[in-house]
Amino acid sequence: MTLPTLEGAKRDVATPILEVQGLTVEFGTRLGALRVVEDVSFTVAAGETVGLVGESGSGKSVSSLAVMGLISPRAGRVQADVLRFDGRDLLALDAKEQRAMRGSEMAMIFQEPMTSLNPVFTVGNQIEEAVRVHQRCSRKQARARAVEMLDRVGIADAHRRAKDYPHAFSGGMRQRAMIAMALINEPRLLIADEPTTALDVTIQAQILDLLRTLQRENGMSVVFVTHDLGVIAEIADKVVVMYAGQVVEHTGVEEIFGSPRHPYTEGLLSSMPQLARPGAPLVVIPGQVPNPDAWPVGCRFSPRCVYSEPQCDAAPVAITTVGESQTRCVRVSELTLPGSHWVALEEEAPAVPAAPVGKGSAAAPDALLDVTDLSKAFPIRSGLLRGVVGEVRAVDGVSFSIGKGETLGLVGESGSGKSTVARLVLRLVEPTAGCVMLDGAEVTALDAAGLRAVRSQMQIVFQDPYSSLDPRATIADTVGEPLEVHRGLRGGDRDAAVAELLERVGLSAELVRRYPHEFSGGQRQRIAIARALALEPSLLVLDEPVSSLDVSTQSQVINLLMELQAHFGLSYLFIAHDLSVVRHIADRIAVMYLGRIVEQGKSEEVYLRPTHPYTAALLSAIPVPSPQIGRRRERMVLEGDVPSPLDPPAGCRFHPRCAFAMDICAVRDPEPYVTETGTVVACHLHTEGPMLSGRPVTVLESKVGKQ
Amino acid sequence: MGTYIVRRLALTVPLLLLVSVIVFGLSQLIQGDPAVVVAGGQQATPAGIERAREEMHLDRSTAAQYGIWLGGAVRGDLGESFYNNRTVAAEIFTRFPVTLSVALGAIFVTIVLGVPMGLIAGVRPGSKIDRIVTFSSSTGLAIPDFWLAMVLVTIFAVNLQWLPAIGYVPFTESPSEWANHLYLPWIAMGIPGAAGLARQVRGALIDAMEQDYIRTARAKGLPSRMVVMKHAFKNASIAPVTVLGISFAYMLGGTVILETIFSLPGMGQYFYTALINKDLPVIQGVVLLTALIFVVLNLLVDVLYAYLNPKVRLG
Repeated sequence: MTLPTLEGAKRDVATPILEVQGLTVEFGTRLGALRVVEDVSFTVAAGETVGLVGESGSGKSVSSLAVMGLISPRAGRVQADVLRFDGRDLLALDAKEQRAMRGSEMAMIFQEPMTSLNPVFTVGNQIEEAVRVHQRCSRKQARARAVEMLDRVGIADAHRRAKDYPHAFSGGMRQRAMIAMALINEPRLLIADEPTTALDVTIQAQILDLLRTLQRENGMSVVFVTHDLGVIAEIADKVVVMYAGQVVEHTGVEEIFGSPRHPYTEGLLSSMPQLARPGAPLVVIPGQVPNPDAWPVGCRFSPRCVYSEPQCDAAPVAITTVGESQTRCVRVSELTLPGSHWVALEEEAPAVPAAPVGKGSAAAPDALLDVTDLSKAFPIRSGLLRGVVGEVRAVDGVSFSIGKGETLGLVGESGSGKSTVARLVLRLVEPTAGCVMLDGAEVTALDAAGLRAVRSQMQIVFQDPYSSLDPRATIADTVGEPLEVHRGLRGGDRDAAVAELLERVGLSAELVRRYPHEFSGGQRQRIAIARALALEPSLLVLDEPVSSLDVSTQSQVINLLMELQAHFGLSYLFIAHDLSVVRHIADRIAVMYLGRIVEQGKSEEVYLRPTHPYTAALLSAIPVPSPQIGRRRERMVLEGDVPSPLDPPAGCRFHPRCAFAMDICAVRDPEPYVTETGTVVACHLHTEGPMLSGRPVTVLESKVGKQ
Repeated sequence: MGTYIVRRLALTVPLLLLVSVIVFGLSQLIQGDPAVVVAGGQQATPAGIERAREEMHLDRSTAAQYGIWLGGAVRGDLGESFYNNRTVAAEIFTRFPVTLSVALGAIFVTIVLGVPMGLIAGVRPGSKIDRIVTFSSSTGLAIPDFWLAMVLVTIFAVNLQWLPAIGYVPFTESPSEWANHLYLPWIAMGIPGAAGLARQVRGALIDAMEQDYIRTARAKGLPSRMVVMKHAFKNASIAPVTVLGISFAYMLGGTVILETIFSLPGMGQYFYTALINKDLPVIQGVVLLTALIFVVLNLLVDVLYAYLNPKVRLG
């Protein structure tokens, strides 16, 4: 980012930009009015960033939509004691006045950059429209403003890109375009609803930087809605924690991490995978967020709270103010809760490297799965006759192995080819080259019948439990289908086996006749796991199995997977973009970039002492759950997107984004090199090439390069 | 966009060839010897049959027959009817404008009634106006067009005597008379179409209004009119355009019943008579023309599709 910084943007804390008191939102349903947000109060001062945190169903998004006036009066009813923006009563405005304010004085960006832009209009058109609806100006002037703004949010070649349709933009670029659209009229308040959740960590770091810079330049206030406490630590001044439609804690960012006062806040903090001890089960908040039609009468968190006492359930709990913080807890004065105990990775890393494995490769002994030089190229067709004009090498010469009972974590950004690897291993996609061996059988050479037999040995769990379960099949049908196909089980036998599987994954056996829509995301993922386990496979391929789940549910599913592995001796290929989760569950980690594995080694080694600059950058981009450390540390922020695999850079594929790139990197592809700790790394910093002869193999420190 | 259209055009050539093979194949499937029919049926003499066979090239190989037939068809020579001396091409030339006149007006009625109805219903699903539209479009779909036609004739032609009940006047003779004779067929044919289209538009608009980009448009502060007419409508029009193309193609094929009720000398009646009489050249000619219409309209729909959805243009 090369934006100018204006020092000392004015902060007038005295007059709040946004005042919310007693906000209540009800939606009309068939069963009558359903209250989804109740008595929410917070204020946002000028130039301040307030984080709104909670899991899905907490009411955080609905609250922010209500402030924006985006809840249609036909769908829901918004009430409040006070809802003031810059001194003006928002509830007293008529539709026209509200509309005039939206997009000019307060603006909003959303979670899904892929769907938030209209696919049938150009990006430039959609941004210039935001200008023209609020300001008197010609189309040409509006276009010039739009291009200027696109340039400011870091879209290269903005003049030309403005003429592109959204599908030609990457996720990160679309979010930049959304930000340009929201900020083009210089609003005083920006509501950002999970703006980085759908993005890769490296892109998340870029977007957070961009938002901070623009906020400083414009002196704008921000309401930042997220489920990720790490992001909160990076960006917020004050934090509002929401649970089941209510604010449970409202305090400063230091206090949230240093001395949380509500047990739910503490639960959220401790279930963050960054804070978990490797190998140990993750801390979980038991149960799940109740639906709005089933909120407890007393404290809404009480059924899941470890500190719960009978008095908690007696009556609705009012919010109490202690000093600067507000907390909705009966036992607030008695409880002292532990805060975030996060320590910087540099301090966690042992000074002495772990004992070298003593063999030339990081291959696991007694391998169950052996993948050698696996490649997949998709042809690109173009022109009149649809001739093949090139190929996308989605996976390019990938080798790894997984031992019995072992977990290999495969990480990388979107577009790295990690999901294609998953499909290649199962031969759901035919590889172009390479070999996959499962327990001595060459999967890549099998005929259809042989493949079907071997597939009972390896099963897959997909990312999205909402679309990967057939909505018209009962749970018994979904989980029982593999048993019918492979084992010939029918009727009662099948149902008994399904019931046993459901209990195995922590679901009640009585649920077999239900349909997927009756389950929450976490429960659905358990069902998907039960289906995968039905044939007692030896290998499970888990393709981002927890990415679409809430923090507390995510920990539950991870714990379940670790438990199942211990019990059945399963091997996992665990694919994820979240390195903290992978570190927790995996024995070894392989890092992919543009179709290749750039680093592969033992989890702790890779996580604490990354050798490849890309791994180091990925780790550095993970938000740190500590505002003190997080804001002081220097980070490696990768610039730009992952290049197109259509035309990958010559030499080392990472070199255009690498802070350590040397001349040789642009010319020669680095060979894999085994370090003394057994990590295999493909990087010229770690090979004894002609330019580097004599240079010792070093471990990259975390503090490399500056933002 | 240009490449897309050219490629799409190039694809229609093999498609049309395939259609021509199938249409020609009809002659091989037909029962009885066409030469006998042409030579006079029961009264045919062996010499007459032989002459007919030669005239129709039936003594040549199947491939040669196809070549001769296709060569003719490309030049507009679709042969002669077995039963009168008129060439198929000439007959189509006088009849097709009638069918085209009916179809153009009917599709106009379909769009003018169907789109606004679908829009006002789709903007507020569940509202009173939506229920009215949904109910009336169900009714419109349920009413058979011939019944509607007869009711219209009874009211406007017989009782009120505002419009002629039957007949056709070419546009070139008198545009006003042309229209007067066609109002009733247009309405009779357009209303069921409008009912179907209204449902399509309503459904597509409801889907579009639930998309994230609509929320973005509202967050920008756009007035509702722009949110619906610009952002939702362009996305929502993709599916209805496909349906509209297909129903227009059907209308151009002609309808036997409506043409009979209104005594319109269109394609439907022509084809019906030919079918009854096994008048092979006529059947072949009409089927070929209908296939051509479908191919051309599909092409138009695809081009429109590419205009509406920029992702298609990449293809």
